[in-house]
Amino acid sequence: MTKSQAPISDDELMAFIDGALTPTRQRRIEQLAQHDDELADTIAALLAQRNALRDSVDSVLYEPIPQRLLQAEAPSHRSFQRVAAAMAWVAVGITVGSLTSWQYLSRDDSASTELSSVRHGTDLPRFVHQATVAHAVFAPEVRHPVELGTAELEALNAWLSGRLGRNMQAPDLARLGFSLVGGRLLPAETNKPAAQFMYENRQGQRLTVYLRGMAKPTPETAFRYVGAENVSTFYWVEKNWGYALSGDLSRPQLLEAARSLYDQLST
Amino acid sequence: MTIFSRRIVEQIPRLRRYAHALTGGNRENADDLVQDTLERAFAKWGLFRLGAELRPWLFSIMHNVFVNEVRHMRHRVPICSLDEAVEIGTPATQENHVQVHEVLAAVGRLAPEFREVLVLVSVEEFSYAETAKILSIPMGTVMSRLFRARTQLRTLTGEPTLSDTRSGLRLVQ
Repeated sequence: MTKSQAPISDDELMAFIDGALTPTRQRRIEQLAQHDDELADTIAALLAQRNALRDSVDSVLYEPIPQRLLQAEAPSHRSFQRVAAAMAWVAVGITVGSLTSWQYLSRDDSASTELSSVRHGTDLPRFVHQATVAHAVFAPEVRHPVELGTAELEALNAWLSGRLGRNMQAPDLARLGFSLVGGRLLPAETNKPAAQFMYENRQGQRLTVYLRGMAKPTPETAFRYVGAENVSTFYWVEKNWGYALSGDLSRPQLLEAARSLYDQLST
Repeated sequence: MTIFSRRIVEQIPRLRRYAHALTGGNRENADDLVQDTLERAFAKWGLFRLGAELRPWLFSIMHNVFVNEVRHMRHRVPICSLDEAVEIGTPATQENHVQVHEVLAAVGRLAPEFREVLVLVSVEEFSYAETAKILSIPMGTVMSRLFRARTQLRTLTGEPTLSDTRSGLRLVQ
């Protein structure tokens, strides 16, 4: 109850709270607190405050990123190189790059006339964009790659079936050496949320499968391939459902996985 | 997608968390802040040194954006001084128990420069040296702001201030 005999400086107290002291100094303060109730209370309150602050905002880390942030670009007066760089950043796919970046990025009207015909045609480029961005965001996640893991597989399947309005069973890619990590629900279009399943092999490489109902009747496609620097995607549309498989794999490997998915996911 | 841009996308969740805390939980303002930061990052990415750490660079850009916005909005944002904070604070029913929603709202009432230091250290877990670099202020200023931020925050969440409990010690001015 007595005041500390050897008072601790404010800086030292802060460093104690943030774990920034050497073990020796850390121990010294712990010892002092054992004989100083006020100091002990202060430390407890500051640690509680630190935790409460973190808890109050941590959930933001696991929210889906708003589209407008994924579409951020440099101000309109930048040089051509900068435009190209910004587009490359968001557009992800090289093949659909020009199409996608026009639809979601460009505020430059000069580009719009020649591409206007595709504007109302299909939401396929948008779908591919969403799938590849979702892959880029979640595949590197260490702590929370998925919302529900394999321990809750039944719940995951039931949940996604309910939200997507179709029978949904997480596909199995074990034959190709990839085991299921789990899955998550993602916002995509009004009344048409998307599901993402994630897979991992022994080398830690990850694949994601992304699917949602297409926003309007979209012509069926064969497998299509989009390759970018570190991620490649096979995508296809069947019966108004869009499917995309993304990963950093060779094209033949990815194609084999896509075929397996096609067989399992057909409605 | 270039490696650079992919690495930026990976940082968006953390930029959002930081912005969320800086704005006291105002989602719209927080995402505006992130968007402005990303746009600036693209405009300036020619200045980014390869091999440098991306995260502190992005956070320092957000700092500049935030400071500019605060400068323009200062007359509209209610921010309390320490004296006011003492009056506003209500007695705690449970000491040491800070409600999560309460703490975020309280952070939003701290002076902006205190908010930044507090959140960079407590939530983003930057070292004091990194925080000093991001904010372009001396380490000593980081330490004194951190102490004052935590003291004020306790008052705002209805706890006794450090100056009350540790009356033998001087408050850093």
